[in-house]
Amino acid sequence: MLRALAIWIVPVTCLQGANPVSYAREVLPLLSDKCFLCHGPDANTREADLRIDVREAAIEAGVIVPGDPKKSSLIHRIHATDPDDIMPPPESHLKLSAADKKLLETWISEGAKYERHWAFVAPPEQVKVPMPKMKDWALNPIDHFVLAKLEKEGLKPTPEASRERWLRRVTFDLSGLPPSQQEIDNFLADESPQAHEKVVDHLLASTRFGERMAVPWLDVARYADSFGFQADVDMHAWPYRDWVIEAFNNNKPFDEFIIEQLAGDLLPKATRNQRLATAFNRIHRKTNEGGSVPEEFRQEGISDRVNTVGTAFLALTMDCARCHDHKYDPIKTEEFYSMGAFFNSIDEFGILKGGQTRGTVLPQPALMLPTPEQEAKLTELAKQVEDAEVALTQHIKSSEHAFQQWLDASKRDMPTADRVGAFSFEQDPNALTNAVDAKQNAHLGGNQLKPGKFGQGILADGDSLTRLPDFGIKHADQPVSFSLWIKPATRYPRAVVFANSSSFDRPFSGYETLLEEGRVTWSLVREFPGNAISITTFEEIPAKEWTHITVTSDGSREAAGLAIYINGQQAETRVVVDNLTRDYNIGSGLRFCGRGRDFGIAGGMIDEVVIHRRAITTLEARALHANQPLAKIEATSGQMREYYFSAVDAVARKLSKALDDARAAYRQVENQVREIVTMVESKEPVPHYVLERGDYTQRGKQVQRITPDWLPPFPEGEPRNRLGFARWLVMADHPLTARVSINRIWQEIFGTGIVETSDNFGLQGAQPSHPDLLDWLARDFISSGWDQKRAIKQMVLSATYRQDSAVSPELRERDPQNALLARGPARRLTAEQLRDSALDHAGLLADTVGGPPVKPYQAPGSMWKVLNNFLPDYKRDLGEGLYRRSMYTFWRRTTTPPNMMIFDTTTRDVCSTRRQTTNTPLQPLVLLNDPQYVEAARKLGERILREGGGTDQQRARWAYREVAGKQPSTKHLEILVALIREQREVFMSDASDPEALLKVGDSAADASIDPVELASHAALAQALLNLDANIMLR
Amino acid sequence: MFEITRRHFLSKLSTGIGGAALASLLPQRMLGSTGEQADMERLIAHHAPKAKRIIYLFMSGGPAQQDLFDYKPKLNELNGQELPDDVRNGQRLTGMSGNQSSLPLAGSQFEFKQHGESGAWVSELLPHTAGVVDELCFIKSMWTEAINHDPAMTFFQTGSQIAGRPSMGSWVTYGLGSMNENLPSFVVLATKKPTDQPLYARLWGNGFLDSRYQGVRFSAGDDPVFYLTNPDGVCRSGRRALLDKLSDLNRLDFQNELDPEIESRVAQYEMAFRMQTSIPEVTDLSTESESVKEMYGPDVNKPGTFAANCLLARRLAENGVRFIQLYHPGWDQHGNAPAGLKRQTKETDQGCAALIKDLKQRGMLEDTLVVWGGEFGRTSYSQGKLTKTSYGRDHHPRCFTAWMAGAGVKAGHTYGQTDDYGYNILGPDAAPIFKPSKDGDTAGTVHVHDLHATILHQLGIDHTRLTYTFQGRRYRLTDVHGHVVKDLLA
Repeated sequence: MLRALAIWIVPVTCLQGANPVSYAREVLPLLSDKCFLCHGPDANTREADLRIDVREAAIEAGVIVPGDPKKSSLIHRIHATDPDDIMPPPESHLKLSAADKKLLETWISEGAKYERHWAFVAPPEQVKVPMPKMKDWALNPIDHFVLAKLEKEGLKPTPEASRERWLRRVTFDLSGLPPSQQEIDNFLADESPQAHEKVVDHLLASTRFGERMAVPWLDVARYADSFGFQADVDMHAWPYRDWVIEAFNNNKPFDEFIIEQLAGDLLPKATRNQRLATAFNRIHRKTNEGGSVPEEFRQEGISDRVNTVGTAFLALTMDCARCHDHKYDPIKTEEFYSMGAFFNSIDEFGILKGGQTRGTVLPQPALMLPTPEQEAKLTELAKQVEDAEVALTQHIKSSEHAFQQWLDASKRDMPTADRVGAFSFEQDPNALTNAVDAKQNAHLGGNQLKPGKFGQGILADGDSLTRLPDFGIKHADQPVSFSLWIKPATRYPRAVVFANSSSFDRPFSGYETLLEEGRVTWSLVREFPGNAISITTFEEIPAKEWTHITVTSDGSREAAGLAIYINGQQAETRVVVDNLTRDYNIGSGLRFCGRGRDFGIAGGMIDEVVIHRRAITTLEARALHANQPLAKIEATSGQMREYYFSAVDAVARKLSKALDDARAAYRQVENQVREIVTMVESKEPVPHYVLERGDYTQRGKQVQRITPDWLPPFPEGEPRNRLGFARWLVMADHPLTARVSINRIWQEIFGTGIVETSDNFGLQGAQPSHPDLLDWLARDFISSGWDQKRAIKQMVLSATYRQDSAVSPELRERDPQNALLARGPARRLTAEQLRDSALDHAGLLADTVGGPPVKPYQAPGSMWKVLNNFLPDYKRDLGEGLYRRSMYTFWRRTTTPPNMMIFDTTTRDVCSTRRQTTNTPLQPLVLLNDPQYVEAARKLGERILREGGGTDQQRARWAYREVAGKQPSTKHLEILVALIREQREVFMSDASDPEALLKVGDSAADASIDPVELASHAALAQALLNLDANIMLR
Repeated sequence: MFEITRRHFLSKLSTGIGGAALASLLPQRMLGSTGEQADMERLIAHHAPKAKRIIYLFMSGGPAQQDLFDYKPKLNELNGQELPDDVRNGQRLTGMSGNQSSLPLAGSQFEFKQHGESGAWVSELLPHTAGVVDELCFIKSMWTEAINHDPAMTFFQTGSQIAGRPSMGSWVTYGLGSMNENLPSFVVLATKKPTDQPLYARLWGNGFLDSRYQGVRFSAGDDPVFYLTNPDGVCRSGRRALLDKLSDLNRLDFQNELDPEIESRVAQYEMAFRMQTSIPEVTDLSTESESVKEMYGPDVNKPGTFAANCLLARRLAENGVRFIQLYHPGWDQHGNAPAGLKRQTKETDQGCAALIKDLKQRGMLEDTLVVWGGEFGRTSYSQGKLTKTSYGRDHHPRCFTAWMAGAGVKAGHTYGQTDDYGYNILGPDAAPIFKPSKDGDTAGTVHVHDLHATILHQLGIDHTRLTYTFQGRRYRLTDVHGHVVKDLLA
């Protein structure tokens, strides 16, 4: 070792350069990447109990001796040659370069100063704008920062791009579409100093702006039109997408944009739109796959929220800390789950309703989105329900004499009114006769008839289901009662007595009576627990004994309208949930003794099932229990009165019927109302726990709602919920939110962020190319009131943005990624921009903003049903749906549109802040052969012939300018004219069929134009749409 | 003309120059800091590869090991008895059978016999596969963590249950590049049949890798690849003329912009043009001899059947496609397993065996790795009622069977064993392993990550070194797990 030392130690004097080494910008990234995996924040994988991310620990261990690299074992180890000694160890496949080693030595010799990672320290309140030497170039502060850096690097800015080039660039960047020839003419003619600004203001004011800016945000929000697992059920979340478009168009301050999406429901007097915004946290993937474990997927959903919030606002890779402490960043596993505790408190079920009726109930809670007409109608119908309730109550109050008259009569009429089913199970097991209506029989369904409470009863095996008809009980607002004798075999943890539910798996929708550890639970469920009413008895019914139970619902859809009777006495109950806001969704019939894929009353018996289409009264429940006629029951006068107005009094019954009808009328309109998944905070915070190794079955310590302690403290006085969390994010001194947000905006305008890794500001993220500029922009953004349009305007009007993107080989070699911004941005158009601009040039693009997703042309092999029989057929739209902007194309997560995926759209499975721009052989196939593009080319061909002038030359010029946004050179023109003539020959020959080409796509070809001319100009248009000058934004 | 830049070079990955060649050509100074650059030196063959290519026969839905390869006479004897608690040992069940009042053991209705010199047990359902057992290496002790199809398939195809990671085929093409100039490197073929086993584009997606590595699905029909065919009315010479003018125009722009991306795009248009000929050629099975077709069985004449896809896979392999991924769905026998299995095996047995024989005859089995298997196994107890003629089987992640063949894999070999119930893997000491470790230190077990590591190994890739840096983390197909199962290798 000593010998080695002699060779590598460089005199300290040589190492001291002009600038001291920066720990935060130079050393920390190196240590993080090469050392922290084993000697960093994660205690579980820490080797030799050594951490070097903390200065004291490194010094104490003798790894670092400040000022003395010779004595620092870190330096010995990185220079070691023995494979057992060298760091990083060979098996890590990590290596330090000579420069890296030198850097570490210098740093130690300079005192081994530690600093916090730059992104975890708030930007300075005042960021000084540098004053570069070149005085006549900068147009705004952005340019000062960029130029100062260029001067430091010995570079000069590239001259300004042509006006056409700037116009095309800014128009695409702010609208996602190309400038029209008229707009080019106008801009070229405008000699005023405000010409650029006028263009920008015009673009920012167009609704196209919101559509353009929404696309990258929808990537972040992983917005899609389906849930993304297995049967990939439709999500109907497009109103959220439209909320995003509108937010951008209205220039909603970005802090409000964040707050409303994270916590709009918790704002004081939250509007419907603010609640709608919280769909952001509910549109993650969700499975409907049969047999899935709800808790596993509930946890998946919560983790997805944490990851999305982490990436979107903090640019932190939270997910790394789900199973273990983060390897590089100071995120502890407990902090991952503590953040989850902000986003877990919602009455949700982990999986989605499956089975044949999948998609009929969205995950609850959900927000109803009535149209104004529906809303007016519902208000009116609600009033009618209320009136009917009042009428009934008043009648009862004022009709005591009628009751007394009936009570005093020597021969009282005591009907078993509204009874629709009565089963004693005495008959042929294949048709168990209903004593009320012989046509409405029951079927044993595999259970057995055995001696029961009276005569025969049903012995359940726990899996077989005894089938009854539904008796017309299909809606939660219908009054109903079920009575039966039951003899449980044991104290079941959970067993279904009877139910009529849709879905063959949880979550079930419908009505149900369960035994849960002896208690009787009676529920009407849209989806449990987010939308249901449910009560459960305190009393347990005994195992191995016969008990009579009656459950009733009065149709009010409130827990208070449910009752349970045990042996004829109304039982005391506890309200489990009371949040049923909409109708339930029953299945194919009423089933007793169990439910498919649920627990049944194995070994238990039932007998004497009686069903009423009315909430029966205590007297009636007593009579059923006593197995006696009503008249034989000794009842209190209260019980008699209750019975009389429920079952006898003709007027009361008429008024009850009117109430039922009013509720049904309300429900019929309500059932038409659209809904969307949103966040609704539970009454109490749902307990949240560390999950060991991320495993949902391994609950560890319970966590509180706490933000990471290495970020600013939670603001005082703010509630410990999502709202407080959102306000914490947008605190002026939060080191991440504003930087992360403005960096993403920068990325949209300049193609690459100032921090290239816009999804990771942690230790492993890229260093900012212009750190001071980023800080200045972040402060400027906040002080402007998080004004996005202003920020964007400032960027596109900068001299930096106005530079030409053409570049010398030397500069490209020096700075291939254009990190220094010595030239203007250049990027490939996105999938959406390519398709939208082709439609625009063709004159086909529809200008409708928002609304349900559309289904344009799709390649035959990509039709939904081809790969997934659960899906409907892809039935493409006719008319406008073919020509809407691409952001409205139905985004089915499991079968993404290939013509967009080939151009690097993200799958929208998870949050994504960046897209790739690739160059593959499948791309030409789309642009040249996809019917969407072929049709666009032939419609553009028509425009060329109609608007482009009379000669080949004129037309070629017009067409080139239409697509490329600039005049062609003479050479371009020569080739284009030759192309027209060549294609004319081709389409006159027998090998081609111009008329067939003109039939591609739904839009009719202009019959007044010669097919050969039209086809050859369609070919010209195709060539232009495939030009670099179209595909690239330069 | 202009100095070649790194980016331009990378773009050549898809136009012919393989990753291995590329890495050796790439000047060190071009290795920068972004994901792909930083990981460039990790590309390429890390050791001499045994396999040049892979054909993966994915049996989607989860085939029942007890009815196909994992012979369990004791299970047959115990037919109808309850699954003992100490065998289940707390294993989680799906909600489909987990709430049943009874979990009766269900023996197989099918007869098993030993075949070949290796004496491998194969059920009567697979007479053709039985004929090639001496070429196969059976793994009886596969296991996975997922219990539902979607996460389990995603796990098998991408090494993670979380959506958004690159698929195995993408990793391999990222690592090894292309072997040809007119076909994609990673081709996906799915049997065309109505099924409740959905396939998802993410299974062959590129995740965070460059989209040039995504699988290209060939579908049976007129347009085997999306948008491959010229529009109606456009002839090939007309298209050629158009492309010539297009490249003249693009070259003109290159002179102004000096962006090598333009040259690269011109090359992509040429490759697309070649694909328009080469894909119809390679997918046209009519040129195959009758004797070959006979080997694959009558289904081979129906485009989109498994047999036709097997033959197509062989043709793709011959033509330099590196990763050929087949899917055959429908192995999800929750109810009436005997009938379902008869149908499934009839659809697949002959094609599998023919593919092995065909590759062998052509001398290609030596350097082609063939893998057969599903995303999990099935329960030894009956889901739903057990009757004399029928039973159902639910999902079972704790053990299942897969096989491999060719490319340096032990032929006529069986690895791993399960208990008499076909429920748990047995260790070398014949004791059941209830909690195997996915870190590869439980002898006799093969986790999904282990299979991936072994597949990559045969392709010449060290699975710990094939990485891509995304969001600051070096990702691998095998996460931080997996070990090469040397016992499977000759």
